[in-house]
Parts: sequence; structure tokens; C-alpha cells
Amino acid sequence: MSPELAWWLNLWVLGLVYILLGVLLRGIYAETRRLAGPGETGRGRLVVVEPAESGLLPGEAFPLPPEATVGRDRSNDICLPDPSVSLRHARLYYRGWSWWVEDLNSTNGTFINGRRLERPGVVLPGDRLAFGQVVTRLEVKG
Amino acid sequence: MAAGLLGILAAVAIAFPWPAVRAGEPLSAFWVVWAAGMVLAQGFVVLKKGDPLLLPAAAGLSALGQVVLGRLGPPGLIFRQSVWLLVGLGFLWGALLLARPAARLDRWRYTLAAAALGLVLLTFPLGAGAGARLWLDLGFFFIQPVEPLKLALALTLAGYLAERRELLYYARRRLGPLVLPATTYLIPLGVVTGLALLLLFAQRDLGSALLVLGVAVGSLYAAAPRPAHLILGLVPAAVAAAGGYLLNPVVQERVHVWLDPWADPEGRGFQVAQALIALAAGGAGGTGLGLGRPDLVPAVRTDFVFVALGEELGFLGTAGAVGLYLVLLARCFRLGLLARSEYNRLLAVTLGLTLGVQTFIILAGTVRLMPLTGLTVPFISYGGSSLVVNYAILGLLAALSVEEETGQRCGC
Repeated sequence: MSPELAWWLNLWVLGLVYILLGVLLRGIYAETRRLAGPGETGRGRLVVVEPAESGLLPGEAFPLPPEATVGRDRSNDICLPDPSVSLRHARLYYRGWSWWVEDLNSTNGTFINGRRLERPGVVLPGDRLAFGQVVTRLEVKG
Repeated sequence: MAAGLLGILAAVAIAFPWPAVRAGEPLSAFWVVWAAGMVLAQGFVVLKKGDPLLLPAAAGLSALGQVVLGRLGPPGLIFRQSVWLLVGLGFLWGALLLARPAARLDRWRYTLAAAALGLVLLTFPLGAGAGARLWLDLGFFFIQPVEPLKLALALTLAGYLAERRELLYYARRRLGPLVLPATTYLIPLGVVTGLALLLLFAQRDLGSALLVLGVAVGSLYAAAPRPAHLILGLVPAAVAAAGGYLLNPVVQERVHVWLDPWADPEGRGFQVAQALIALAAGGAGGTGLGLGRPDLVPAVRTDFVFVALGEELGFLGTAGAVGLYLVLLARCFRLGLLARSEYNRLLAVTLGLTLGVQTFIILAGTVRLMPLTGLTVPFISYGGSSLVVNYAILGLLAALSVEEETGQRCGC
């Protein structure tokens, strides 16, 4: 192996390794920025997508406090008066730069993008969050 | 989406000039098939809304492995490794296409573990290899049963822990003033892990024993985060380490060499001393590919492959590789965080731990951060079983990310 060729080979391999690392880290950075939102408190809102029989309108939005309960009962922070929603259905809270949702043993379940939750899960901006038959979407103001 | 495509192209291109440099060997065909297979897999994952950063990180490491092994030779060994690479690619695609939903694998939770333990057992009467007899001779090739074992163990742990995590978390027992975790629910876990550990200790395969213990304790903690579970894992580890040091001359030697390889640099300390010399010779930018003497280090194609990387590509090369491992691990744990079912969540964690703990143990042993115990460096070392199993793990992780649509949900 001539020293010259070895030098070019090293340049090729190392150059590409660091281009790859740069691409990956940039992807992670962009994703973190997107998920973290603007500040430390998650300024989010819950937008109704499919109101089912709740009487709400598609596009209607609930601003989210750092911690909110969701349910059919009027005492909840977010009241979804639909028969498929339990009285006290789920809890939405902001922790570790993410929005989390916890199902409170509801009858018909809480779903992220169609998947039933078994334990508290991260909800990302744009995710379809369903409480029983009522489908909503999480939006975070950027 | 653009980042994912650019990433995979950069990753496969790392190995691109190598077949050309070693003219006269039928390697370029292998590289073309591998590169096409990886790019297509990445396309599949991105289109199906999986994680776009997972495959590029692993492909970059695999390409680095091809470069380093291609430089070390000899051609016969590189040819076999290239064949294994394509077998691995087949497993990756198999996992991508068949392992969805991943929970389907849980049906064979104990069958897989039992089969893998059985294979390891077979090495006692039939094992091949000098010193530790860890290989099974299948006529035209060897397999190392400990590699399928670590995959089977990751699947078993994920299934068991997903089912029992609440019991493991909440069930307590009082012993006088102490509150202890109720050990009853830990027994099946302890039996499988203990059996694996016992087998590996009897085989003197210390690296794999350490790996199994690390993965078991790590995933137990991930499933049911009680500090007591960490202590419960660390106590047997400490007892085993102390017992090993007192009773087993191999362990004793490893510790002494770790503390001072220069006490006997021509004898017992030879491998570690040579490795340190080679790493030092590499400096920041390396001696240049083909210009160093990594062949002076024993086992430089397998356990010590990181030294070859460090000598000829320098600190820049090793730091780059470590960076890629960190990205790979970060993607595994992020997948675990975003997964919605308990099984998927824990499977991402156990598979990630398997890759991460293995990388840590062997790299730390190589650079004298801890006593050396032999393991392959994932995706880089020579070794068919290891390569195939790591590609299968990668395929499972990619399938999980597709199932959970983590790429779409992160919007990258």
C-alpha cells in the first residue's frame, strides 16, 4: 500500500464516517427541537378530530394546562360528553419535555394512533389521541 | 426522510473503495449486493414510517468492519465474512418482513431460550476451539451457540418482564425492618439467567457471562425500576467476581494483566500491551490504512478489532465508531420510550442493552478500562454467528420501529 493511497483511503473512510455522524446528529437535534417545543412548559392544545356523539365540533380545541384530566364528567379539565368516554377517562400531563397520557382504567380505552395504551405513553405533536370513540389530535404551538 | 437517505448512502459508501483496492478478489459483487440490500431496507423502513436513523448507524459500523477486515485479510477469511454478511442481510430482511407485529415472537418465548441453551450445552461434548471450546463444527462452517443465546435471552426477558412488570414492581416482602422485593416472581427469570450464567462460566466464556448478567439486570431495572433490583443483580455479580478471582486462575490472570500489563509484556500481558502500543502508534489521525502493524496484536480480527481501527484510522476512527454506537443505542432506547405496547417497549430495551453492554464490555477491555473478557465487537469483528445475530437484532429493531411508526411520529 503506497502512503499516498493510504492517505486518500483514510480521508475517504474518516470523511464519510463523520458525514454520517453529522447527518445522524442533525436528525436527532431536529427531532429533539420538534418534540421539545418552544419552552419548558408545553404549550399544547387538544383538537377534536372525530367528535363521535359528544356534540363537539371537529376542529374545536381545548388549551392544555400542564396537567389535565379527560372524561365525560363536567368536573374534568377536558370534558368529552360522549357515551364511550368514561366519567374519569385519562390524564394528560407534561413531563420531561414531553406530553404524556395515562389511561385511568377507562372502559373503552385510550389509544395513540390506533394502539391501545397499556401504561402511560408519550404523545407527540400530530399524534391521533382517541378516548373511546372520540378522536383528537395533540398540537404544540411552535 | 432526506436525512435517512443521505445517511444510508454515506454509510454504505464507507466500504466502497475497499473491493477496488484489493483487486483480483470477488469482493465487489458482495459489496454491491450488501449496499443495495441495505439501501432498499432503509427505503422500506422510511416508506413504512419507521426510524430513519437506525439502519444508517449500524450500516456505517458494518462498513467500517468491512474496511478493517478487508485490510487485515487474508482473502479466504474475507470471503467467508462476506458470505456471512449476505446471510445477515437475509436475516435483517426476514425480520423486517416477518416479525410484525413483534409480539408474534413471544409465542416461542421459552422454546427459543431452551433451544439456545441446548445448543450451548452441546459444546461441552462437541465443542471445538483452543482454550475455551465455544464453537460447534457443522462440517462446512462453525457456529458459536452463545450468539443465538443472547438473542433468545433478549426475547425471553422482554416477554417475561412485559407480563410480570407490575408484580415485580409492587410485590414486596417484609423482613424485619427491611422491605425486600418478593423474590417468588423473580424465580423463573433467575432460573433462565442463572442457567445461562452457569453454562458460560463452566465454558470459561467470561465475556458472555458478564453480558448475560448485564442485560438481565438492566432489563429488570427498565421493567420495574426499583433500586433493590439493581442491588439484587450486583450482589451475585460481586460474589461471582470475587469467587472467580479466588478460585479461577484465568480470572486472576485477567485482573493482574488489567492492573499492570507491563509486569509481563512478553508473556501474559502481551495482548493488552500490544494493543496499547498499537493504539498509541495510531495517534489522532492513524498511520493510514495498510501502513500500520495491527497484525502484531493477537485476535486483532475478532475481539481486538478496535485496536486495528485505532492504529490505522487513529483516534478519529475510534471516536467515530463510538459515536455511531451511541447513536444506535440512543435510537433503541428512544424506540423503547415511544413504543405503545409493553412487549415492544421492553424488546427494544433488551435488544438495545444486548448491543450496548456487549460493545461496552469488549471496548472497555480493549482499552484497559476494565479487565479483559472476550466478546466480539458488534458489526465490526470477524465472526459469522456474531454478524448474523447482530443483523437479526437490527432487523427486529427496524421492524419494531416500523410497527410503532416512530419515524412518522418524530417527523424526521
